Amino acid sequence: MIKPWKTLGSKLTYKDDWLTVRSHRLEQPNGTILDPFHVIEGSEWVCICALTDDGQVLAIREFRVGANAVTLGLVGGGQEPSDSDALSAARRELAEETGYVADELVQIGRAYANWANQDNQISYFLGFGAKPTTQQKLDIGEDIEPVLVPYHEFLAYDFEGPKQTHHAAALFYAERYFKRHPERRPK
Amino acid sequence: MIKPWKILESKQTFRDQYLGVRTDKCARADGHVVETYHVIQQTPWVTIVPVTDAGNLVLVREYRHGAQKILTALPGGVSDPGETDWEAVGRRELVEETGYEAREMHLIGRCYPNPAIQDNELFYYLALGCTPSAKQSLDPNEEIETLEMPYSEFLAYEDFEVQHALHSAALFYAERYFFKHPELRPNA
Repeated sequence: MIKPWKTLGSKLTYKDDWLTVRSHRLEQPNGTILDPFHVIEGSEWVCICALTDDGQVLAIREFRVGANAVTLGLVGGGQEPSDSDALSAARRELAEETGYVADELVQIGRAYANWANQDNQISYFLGFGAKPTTQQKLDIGEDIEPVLVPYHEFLAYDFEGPKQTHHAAALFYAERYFKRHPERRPK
Repeated sequence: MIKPWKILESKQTFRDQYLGVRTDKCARADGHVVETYHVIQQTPWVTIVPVTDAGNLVLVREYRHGAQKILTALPGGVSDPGETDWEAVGRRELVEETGYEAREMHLIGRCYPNPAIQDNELFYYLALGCTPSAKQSLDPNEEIETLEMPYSEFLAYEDFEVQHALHSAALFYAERYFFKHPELRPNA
């Protein structure tokens, strides 16, 4: 029978505006001490698969430093203190990164970003009726180009360039949603 | 047209046995300078979707400290520095964590867990014909229970109380693969 580990102590190992690492001293049920065990702390993340009325995915092209490449992916970001919940974070990120607004945002899943060593979860949304209605409002360091891709083409997820786990996960949740709501599947 | 950034300076902000953080100063093509950009350094990861001939998935239950919960998961692990044979890493992690061995391994997907701030890739393998044939051999920090579950039950992953994005992605790749190779779809 697997039992939880006991947290004997914790300290903040690193913190600045962008990154927080807390390091724990842990005791396993068999007495083994793990020290340090680093956990990267974060706010709720959001990932949005927004669709236009003609069945296209509102994707974005941006440079990702971790992958050191320009990638094609979905809209996403982190919940900020000014967002009342994940849904409002999703609406804000969609408008800021693409200048598009969706008629309707539906939450289709929620999962840990990485439950081994990150404490935050990510909420997945489908957006319906996305339209370009506002100006992009990019953060410092963001450089983003919206691209429309037919849903079935994005779903094949075999285009050139690095792929991202959270976008594959978003497609999993989208397909599960369309299985239950076939009338909403993009044509 | 989006262009790659140029790394102007790079320094090691944090490093111990378990975690590396590199901090870059970058210039965009338009001349804008991003002063501070952290990248979490990790070796590549491998996640396995292990299926028995009866159509069950071989899953693990372990305590995950990021979530502070006991969770049901796909087996997988981290490669050692310098390793590049991802199938071998997958086979090793499968047998170490579960005691099961696979008849065949198929690479079904590769992606960045987080290309914004993390530099490693994750490789997904479908392991077919899994049978219990060895003893688990766990790392000192690992404490793992093995269980079998019909594939169709795990596929309804969106109904699980606690979910892991990396596993939702694994199921996405598994479903894509079974769509192209329907004869390999588990019948449980």
